[in-house]
Amino acid sequence: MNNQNHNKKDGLSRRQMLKLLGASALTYGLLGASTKAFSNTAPHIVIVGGGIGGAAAAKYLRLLNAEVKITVIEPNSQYIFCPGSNEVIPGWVTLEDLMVTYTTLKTRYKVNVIHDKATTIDYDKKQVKLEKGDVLSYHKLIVSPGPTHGYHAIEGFSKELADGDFPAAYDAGRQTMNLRNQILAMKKGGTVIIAPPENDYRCPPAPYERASFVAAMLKENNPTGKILILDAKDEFVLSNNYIPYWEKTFGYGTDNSMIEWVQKKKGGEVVKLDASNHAVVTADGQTHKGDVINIIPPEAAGQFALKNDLADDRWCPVEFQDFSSTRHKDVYVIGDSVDGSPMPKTGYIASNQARVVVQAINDELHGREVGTPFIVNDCVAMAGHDYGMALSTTFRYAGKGERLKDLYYVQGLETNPAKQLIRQQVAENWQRTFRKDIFE
Amino acid sequence: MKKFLLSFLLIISSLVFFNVQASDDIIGGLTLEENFQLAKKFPMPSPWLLAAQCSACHGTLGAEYNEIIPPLAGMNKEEFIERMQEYKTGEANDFIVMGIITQPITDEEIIAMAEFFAEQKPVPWSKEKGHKDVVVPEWAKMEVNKHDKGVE
Ligand SMILES: Cc1cc2nc3c(=O)[nH]c(=O)nc-3n(C[C@H](O)[C@H](O)[C@H](O)COP(=O)(O)OP(=O)(O)OC[C@H]3O[C@@H](n4cnc5c(N)ncnc54)[C@H](O)[C@@H]3O)c2cc1C
Repeated sequence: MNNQNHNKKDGLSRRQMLKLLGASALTYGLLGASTKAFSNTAPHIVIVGGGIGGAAAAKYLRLLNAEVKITVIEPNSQYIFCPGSNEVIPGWVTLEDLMVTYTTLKTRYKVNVIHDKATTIDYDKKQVKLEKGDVLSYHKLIVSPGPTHGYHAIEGFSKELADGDFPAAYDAGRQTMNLRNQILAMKKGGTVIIAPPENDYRCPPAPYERASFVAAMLKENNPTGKILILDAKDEFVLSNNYIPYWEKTFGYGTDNSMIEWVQKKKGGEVVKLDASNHAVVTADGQTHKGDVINIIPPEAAGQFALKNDLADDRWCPVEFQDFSSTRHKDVYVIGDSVDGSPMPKTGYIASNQARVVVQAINDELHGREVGTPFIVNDCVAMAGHDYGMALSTTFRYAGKGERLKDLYYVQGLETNPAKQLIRQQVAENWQRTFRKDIFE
Repeated sequence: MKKFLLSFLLIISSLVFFNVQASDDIIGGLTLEENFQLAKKFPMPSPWLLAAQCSACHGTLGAEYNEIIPPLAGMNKEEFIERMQEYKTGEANDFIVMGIITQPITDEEIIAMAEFFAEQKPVPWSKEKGHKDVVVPEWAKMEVNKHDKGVE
């Protein structure tokens, strides 16, 4: 749509950048920023979104560069990690465990955090406007607003209903607690409907991990309870682990199974929520009543990215060497909003994309060639307390205009109980280390 | 520490008493050969970026260790290379991530990471909660359900 900005080369030239930096800034500093104020001429890197992608970008940029001014715009005063939030539903971890503040980013990493919502980008003036009226000028803008949850794609569904009786719980927070409380209070022998979305969406295995955890929870409190997965897809990642685990643990595939999974081609796709009857309607016209209804709506790039013309259609296209937007210059998009296939939308990926971006920006500030990107995703998921899984992927650069190329390896069913347990322990440990890596 | 020891014992016992192979692994995308060709075609990613890919599990730039994931920072260069090569060639037990994730990494990249990590400092993981100023809203308060909790 907007073509005039496509030539990114006429952004701030390297020489101008270097001038702005001042000679002293050429040191490859690590946290040297602790005592001095940032000079007025220091390049200003503004980051929209203080979630996993945004916070990782802020922290890792500071690790590379002591001189730049870094500002994060984030409406919430605390962030709640999604990784681990499925465990909140059965109560294996608390929401408190997943909560972090911006204090360390501010004090240790000298990041200016503004608690407000970014609204519009003026690409010509290189400014971002905030809801409360502030206007920030940037040299480089990193955008990581997470996804838009498309509640309205499901007839009869809305954000208000998700905040009320029909939690989607696909951001960690109130809806997560609400889902937990509803399942705890569900009548004996009731049915929990979980409706995973079509591709792409954040954390592809999470709806199935959720089904697994809810089954474990019901087994303990409500053993005649059932889970009905009504899916907008025919397949899901890590099913080579989940299905055998469900067979072994929840009688999956038998008449007595606690979990039933209905693929899209078998009529699984939910198209409508009938809130007053506490039911959903699938594409084949069938009505399914649920005592607890958890519809995870389809996703698109974050509202901020959509409104500011950073998305082609649903997601934001980027040049993969540095994640710069192909639509507007001096803007970078990372995290769930990116059209990043074959990269899945995970926190692990968002944080590693952040590292690629800040290295590229830092290289450019120092007048160096921008380096080659390399990205790892190690998805360590769980099926239960006793079962962990690993899916490891590396993504290599394949040239200008090309998508990154993946090489993936999904570990299969692990029959050795000791190994299963170790994998599960790794998954648990990972969550803690990851939270600290991003926010401490 | 108890947890660490227990995990360690489990690792040992799994090596000695079981020799069950994982089944149904799914491998896709590039072949290893195509991966190495791509790696050759473009300049090597920087040591910093390579090392940073390990941060999410091993702590920021490999610096932090907890009860089951070891630190990389401060590791002797030769030892790092040797361990990575053992994982890569399948001589080391590959029950978690390392036996897999090392496959597509080139020998040059392993050396660059070894040199980078050798210069970093390890930090022990502390059980202390880092964010003491978290305010837990009323709606978020809940009890932990420790029932049936693995090796706790
Ligand atoms: C149940 C569940 C389990 C998951 N488990 C895992 C896991 O085990 N491992 C893993 O790697 N990933 C996991 N994920 C995925 C992971 O949470 C996301 O991929 C990751 O959070 C993406 O990071 P992001 O920066 O794009 O978005 P987010 O982390 O969502 O951050 C976006 C931030 O931007 C802010 N924002 C939005 N709009 C604006 C605006 N206009 N102005 C300012 N700020 C704004 C938001 O408030 C938010 O804080 C899971 C997700 C879910 C739902």
